[in-house]
Amino acid sequence: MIKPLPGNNMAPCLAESWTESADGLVYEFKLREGLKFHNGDPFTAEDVKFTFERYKGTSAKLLHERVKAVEIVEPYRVRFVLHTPWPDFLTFYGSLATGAGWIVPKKYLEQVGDDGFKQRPIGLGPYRFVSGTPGIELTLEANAQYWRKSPSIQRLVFKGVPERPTRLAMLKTGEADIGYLMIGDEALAIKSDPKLRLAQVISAATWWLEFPEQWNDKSPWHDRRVRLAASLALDKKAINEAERLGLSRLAIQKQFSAASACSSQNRMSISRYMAVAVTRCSRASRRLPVLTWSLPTLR
Amino acid sequence: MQWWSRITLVLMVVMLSLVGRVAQAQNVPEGQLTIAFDATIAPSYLDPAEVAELGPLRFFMRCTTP
Repeated sequence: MIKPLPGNNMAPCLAESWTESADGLVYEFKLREGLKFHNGDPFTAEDVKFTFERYKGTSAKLLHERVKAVEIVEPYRVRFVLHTPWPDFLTFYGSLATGAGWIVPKKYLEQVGDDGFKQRPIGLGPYRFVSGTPGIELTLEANAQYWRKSPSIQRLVFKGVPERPTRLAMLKTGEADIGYLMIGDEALAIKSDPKLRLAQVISAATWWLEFPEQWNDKSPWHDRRVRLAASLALDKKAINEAERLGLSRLAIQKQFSAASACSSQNRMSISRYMAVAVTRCSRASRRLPVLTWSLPTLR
Repeated sequence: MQWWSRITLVLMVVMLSLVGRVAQAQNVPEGQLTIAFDATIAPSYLDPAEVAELGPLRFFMRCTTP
């Protein structure tokens, strides 16, 4: 509906404009007129309502709980009414955090069903589905009717290649033109190959460490100073250099933003806390659990 | 019509047709791009209603932004 585009984090897309009521309870989208799905069916507010009702992806329960009603005001105008003000609403329709804002065709889905749709999906985007082998390959071709910008490449072939060395080999042999997520040793290999180019991509995701035991008052992680010590102990710049050839951006540490301003004396006392925490865990023969998480964010 | 008017008219027609052809050529998509994607493209990737993780979201972004 709305999506980040160069120069605008919330650019009009399928919705050409939108409003939020003063009380934060009503969001109204004016849909772009004249758009057609890849099979020629027109895009209307019916499709938006249908997509909302059918959505079962990330945070679907939360979205359905918070939205009181979806009203079709006109064929190209749709209104979402919330139970209570909810600033996160546009995260669903104006960001990449969920798939809720990708509108599916009501009429076609009612004809072919969910499984039929997965075998031959259609949408409103710049590329239409041609063929696919589940888990292996997917072929798309340019949609000449795309409203925003005519694609410059006629055919896209996506190959699912989870192993990084295989992606590198495909690039070197010319089997693939682009390989995603080339980091570490493979990134170095690309950098030293004059026939290949390593492109920096600032991904729409942030990665961080989470201390899941911090809410347990018996865990060493419950002590904020221990968490701070762990944060200080990580050389993020070196990790970025080693893993990403220095191409990632180091995020501001929200919780420990003042950590960098710590005096060396404070750092030493923090290190002592960490040492005590680790010793305690060693005696108890247990590990300090840490999780890594990622979340799509607006860039 | 004077001879120079005819020549000017013919030149204008030729130039306009050339400009049209160049513009048309710029808008015609061509070629194939093969992408080694960093995950197995599961059938659920093809239905936005089922997207519950980062991989499919990145995939959809690639397919929907020319």
